[in-house]
Amino acid sequence: LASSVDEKIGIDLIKRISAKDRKAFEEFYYLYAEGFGRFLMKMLKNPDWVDEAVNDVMLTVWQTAERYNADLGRLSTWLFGIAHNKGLKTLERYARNRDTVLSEFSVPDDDDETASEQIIDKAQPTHVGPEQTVMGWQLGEAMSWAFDRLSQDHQTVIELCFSEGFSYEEMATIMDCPVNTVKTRLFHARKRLSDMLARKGYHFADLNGASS
Amino acid sequence: MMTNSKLLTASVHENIIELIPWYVKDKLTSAEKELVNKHLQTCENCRNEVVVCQKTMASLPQSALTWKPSPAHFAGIMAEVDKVEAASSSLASKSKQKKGKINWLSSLGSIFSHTPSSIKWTLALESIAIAGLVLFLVLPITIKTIPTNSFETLSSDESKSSQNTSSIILVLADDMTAKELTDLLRETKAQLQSGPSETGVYTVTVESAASDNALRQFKTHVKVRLALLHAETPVKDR
Repeated sequence: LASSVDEKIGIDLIKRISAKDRKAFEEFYYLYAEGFGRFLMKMLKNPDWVDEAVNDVMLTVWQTAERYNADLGRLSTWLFGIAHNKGLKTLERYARNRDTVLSEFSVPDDDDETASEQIIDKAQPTHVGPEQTVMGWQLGEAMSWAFDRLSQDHQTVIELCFSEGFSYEEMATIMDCPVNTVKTRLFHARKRLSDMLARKGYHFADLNGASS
Repeated sequence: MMTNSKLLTASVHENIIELIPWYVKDKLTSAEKELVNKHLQTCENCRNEVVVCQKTMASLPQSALTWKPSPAHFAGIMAEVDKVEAASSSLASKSKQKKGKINWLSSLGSIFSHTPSSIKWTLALESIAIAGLVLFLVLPITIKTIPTNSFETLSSDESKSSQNTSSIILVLADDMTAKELTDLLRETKAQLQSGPSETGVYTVTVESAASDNALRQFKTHVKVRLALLHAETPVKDR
């Protein structure tokens, strides 16, 4: 994961990249691009768009490496800030052709039960365990269905917090918003996830008793 | 209205709920962890929140689509890098050229600023003299090209170049109108070549074969005072 790469190695590479060292840039690519790709894939859900967004991230790193200041924050925070920004720009660029986006990549409304069921049918199981099976659905599938229905900001904040392990302050830097906004987004994202799962028969209060 | 203890409890709850994701990820200090544990004993909402976070973290969906770095993708990035570098080096060279021009102008300005004023005036006078000389050489050529005809003519230019014509000199009566003159010229098939001169003389041309007849007609016209072939000497007045 990009956020788990050793900071010292990353900072050393960034210094060399700022001196236009192409070998360092290649090392940096193979060390970080997969993490950017995974983060951006969840955001964009289209490999071609991810190709383009990772391309933009890497180009920005090449052009602005000398601007990174270790005193102002972790390298991974700076890099994810760039990745998040490029992801949003890619979404914005393709959202201009709204018909294509809606027909191929849109998420149905919460009330669109039929469409929701179809997505659940297509979802790949991610967790298998007897305690996680409710009404024939596995929790991973239901979570995937609910996660896809969150807004882009809510999805990003969940990803950054639970997958990448960033702090509130770091998430605020990455998403370019106040810390309190991040706190509110994270709280509402969790609440919305839990509400949507409740509609599908998952009640976390019950699971609390089951899993503890 | 809320009591102080309720306000305090609400504030603690808000603070604890913010810590819960990090409690679940086990990233809190022991003091913070103890604080959360204590709060969880009395707050059902926060206990549920812990479960939400645990399940979210454990069940966070992995994208069905994966993306992996590849040499081909990196080659594409390097092609973009090359483009960017080429564009920036081109910009740098342009800016260098511009800087060079500015340097040339500023050094020239610097030289002039150190030149004594007497030399500056001499140079200025020399420049004016050269400009005057150039104008002197160029202007006459220009003047020659300006047409010198200052009179209105009824004849065409082609008549001047005609080879088989004879010129007749005419002196007309003062009260002769332009229409009468035009009619007379038509009758005699003559064309006005020039005139009137300062002494009121017109020169007309006619075909050589018809010159005698034309001359006769001119001489018999009441408003023609004098008519003679160009080579003739005036012998009589009408």
